[in-house]
Amino acid sequence: MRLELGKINITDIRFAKESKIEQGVLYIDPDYLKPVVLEDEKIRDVVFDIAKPGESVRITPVKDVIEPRVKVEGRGGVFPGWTSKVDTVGSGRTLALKGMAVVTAGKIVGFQEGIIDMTGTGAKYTPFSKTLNLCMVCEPVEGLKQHDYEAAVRKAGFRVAAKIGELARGLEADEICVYETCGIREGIEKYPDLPRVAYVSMLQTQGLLHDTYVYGVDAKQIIPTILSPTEIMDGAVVSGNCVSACDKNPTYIHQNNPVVEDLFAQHGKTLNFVCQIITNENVYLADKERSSNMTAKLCRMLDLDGVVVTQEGFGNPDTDLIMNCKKIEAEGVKTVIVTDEYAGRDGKSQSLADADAAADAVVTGGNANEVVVLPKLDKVIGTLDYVNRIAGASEDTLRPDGTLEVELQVITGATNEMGFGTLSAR
Amino acid sequence: MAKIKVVHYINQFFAGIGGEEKADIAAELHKGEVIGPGMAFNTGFGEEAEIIATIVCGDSYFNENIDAVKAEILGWVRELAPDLFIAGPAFNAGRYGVACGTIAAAVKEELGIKSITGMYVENPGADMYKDKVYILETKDSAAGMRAAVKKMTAFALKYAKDEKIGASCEDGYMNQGVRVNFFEKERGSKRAVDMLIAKLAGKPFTTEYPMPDFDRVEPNPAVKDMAHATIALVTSGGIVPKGNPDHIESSSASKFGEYSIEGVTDLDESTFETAHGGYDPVYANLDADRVLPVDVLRDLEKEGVIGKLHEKYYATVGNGTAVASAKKYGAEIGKRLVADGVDAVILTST
Amino acid sequence: MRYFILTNNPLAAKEFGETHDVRFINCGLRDVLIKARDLINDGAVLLNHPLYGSVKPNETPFRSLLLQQGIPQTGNMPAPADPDSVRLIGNAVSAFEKFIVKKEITDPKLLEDFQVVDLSLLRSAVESADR
Repeated sequence: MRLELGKINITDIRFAKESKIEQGVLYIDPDYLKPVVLEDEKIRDVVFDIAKPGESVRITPVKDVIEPRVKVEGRGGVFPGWTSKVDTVGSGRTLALKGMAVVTAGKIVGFQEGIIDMTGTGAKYTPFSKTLNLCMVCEPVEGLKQHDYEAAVRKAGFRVAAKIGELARGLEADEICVYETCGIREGIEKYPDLPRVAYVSMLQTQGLLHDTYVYGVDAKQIIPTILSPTEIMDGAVVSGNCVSACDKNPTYIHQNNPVVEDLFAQHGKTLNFVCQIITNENVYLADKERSSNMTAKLCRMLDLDGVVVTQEGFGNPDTDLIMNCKKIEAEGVKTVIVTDEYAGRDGKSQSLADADAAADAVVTGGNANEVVVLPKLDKVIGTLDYVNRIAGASEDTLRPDGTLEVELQVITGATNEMGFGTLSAR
Repeated sequence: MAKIKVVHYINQFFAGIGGEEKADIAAELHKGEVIGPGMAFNTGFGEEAEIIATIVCGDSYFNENIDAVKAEILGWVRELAPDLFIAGPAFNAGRYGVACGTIAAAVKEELGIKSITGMYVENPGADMYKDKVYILETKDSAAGMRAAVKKMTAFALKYAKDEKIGASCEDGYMNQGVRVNFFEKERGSKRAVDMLIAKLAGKPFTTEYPMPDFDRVEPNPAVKDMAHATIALVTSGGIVPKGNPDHIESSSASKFGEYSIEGVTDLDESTFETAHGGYDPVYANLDADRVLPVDVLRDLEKEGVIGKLHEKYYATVGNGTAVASAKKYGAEIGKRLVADGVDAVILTST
Repeated sequence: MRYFILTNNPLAAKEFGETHDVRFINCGLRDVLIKARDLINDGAVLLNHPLYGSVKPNETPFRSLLLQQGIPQTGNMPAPADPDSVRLIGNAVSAFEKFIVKKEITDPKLLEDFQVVDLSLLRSAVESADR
């Protein structure tokens, strides 16, 4: 499959009377987007705001981060199963608005976490301090249940991102990257001497606030399967995960999957990037066994030499990670796993909730329990009301001088387990 | 700003006194003197720090008189009140490494003075002290002196000036078993892909998180003939004869005990108790069979299910006891059980 | 399959009380794990993972576990413990202990949110078990 990804660099976002993209500036009329959000009767109101790198702004609680894209050539449209039909995506041409993101925020449950600071200590840890963020805070109608609220905000985010993406249709890309994978036989013929490598992407699939969707399907109901890595660039995998800010994979990170990018960079040079395998992280132990068995079997049947395995979340998924690693290694396929750590505030505790000697090649996104102090910022988009209750915070989090003492856990993307950032630990 | 005051510890060899034949010289304090590798440290320190005294001790003397010599040196250092203590570097010299680790750790723990040492990763002193004091990793021989001094000097200044110490791989000290965050140059995904390429090519790579050491023990095959087997009891639940004759500690036990149960059919309140400090002892003290099931084994013996119960049992306290100590006790207990012709053991915990 | 639900989540007890074997215990999360550990030591087999995917164990006060009753052996000997269950519950207790436990939650809205999330994870496990 071959996908051309055209990048349109966005250098500023401004509210305006007319929505358009001109010379790298995104002009947005809130009234252009509002009906898109309010078409769901579960949402009473929405407020848009803009947060720019370096500004004294804190966005919290963050639900999802999404990159606006539009499909201009080839089958299907972006976010299949949501804003488009379920045509197989990942080929043709897609335009992406680079340097910006749509950030959905708002309280869904009282302990929801996720902080994006645009300046100060927190900004060092979140990748989204470097993007121009169009934030949308959704108000639910009275009495809306948590499940319905989560779904409403999730879907509204995709609609808004797709709507903004539409503004790029017809524009000239600043840069075009081409991603192409081969069929099985083609790959073997073309790169007979290169090791066959795939990417195993574990998706968080546990229940409310912990879900991921593939072409609109709740991934806890899938059996592990293969994707062309270009499919995710069109939004084939999206996040419904609202908790565990530091190590959840927002939709943006699925769209810009760093492992996929870095494997493509080596494709045809040091390795043959065969495909992406997606699997889930269910709560039920027999499901974990089945999914890891299937994943290992796929690795064997695809005649792989090696895989990179990435995780999402902490605790329960450590068991999936270790099962995958152990079983894939047992098939004679070499693994590198990417995770993060919960080694305690003092760094002295066991980092993972499960372990095995087969996991001899580990990349870590750092210790999520490390404590940092975030400065008081001038403006809050969303609300600080719940900040004392989020994971990695305590009763004393909000200090009298307005600073926040928190664990890295609360910061969106801080210890990302797809290796999106440079944070690590030893 | 005043110069940072440093006290330096070296052995007889690096002091230029002599080799193995001089290893028994007692500790000496040389106030105001800079000796051997100290010269290179002083040069490296520039205007920022200086060695105010050098302590020299023979390696044999140190290791044979460890408590006395430690106390003596600590006395000197307390009086000198330096900002920083440096021992070594010891490279791969085993006894020197242990001495450096011992004294550097003691200065840090007992005097609260910042302290570092340097040695080769396989020096036995490294494993013993790397979690107690910063040990800078050096080459395995004195040929690596220049590099070692450079590394230790840079670290010493940073440490003495209260600058933030980075992760072990950044600042060159041995990992202390504490996870420390830092920013890598490459993002995680790139590191993962590079690691996979190395692993596929059979080239060396370093995992960023070594899995905990499992040390799994494969169980022995099942005992076929229980009716003629001698079965022993061993416990980490601290069951000892009343009064704890060997004074086994209630936590971090430094020993195990060997006790006779010859003719004993039932442990009761008047004869046995637990030394364990990690669980509510009431029920174990009332009836120690709950932890060390002598009563049921006597029954099984009588019923002919087992051949016989071994007349001695072994006990220690598992509460906070170091794995290394537990291993040592286990090996010794195993040896004695084999010597006594025991066929199988029931291990009970708490 | 015959199994029971061990829970301290009143919402879970309400939802499944009529249709499933629910053993409700009125206690904290750690005690649920300890109770499960005791049952596992006596041969019960754990069917869902004792940790959440991301809500940290020190945050939520609720947990619901699916356990399959161990079948006693002859002569009243309890069933042998399932090694995987022993390992998972042991790791969960350690994971719980390494997080700093926050003050007791009293806000009823927040408590309800935690109950809803726990119920959602439980439902996901029950759906798998009842298939």
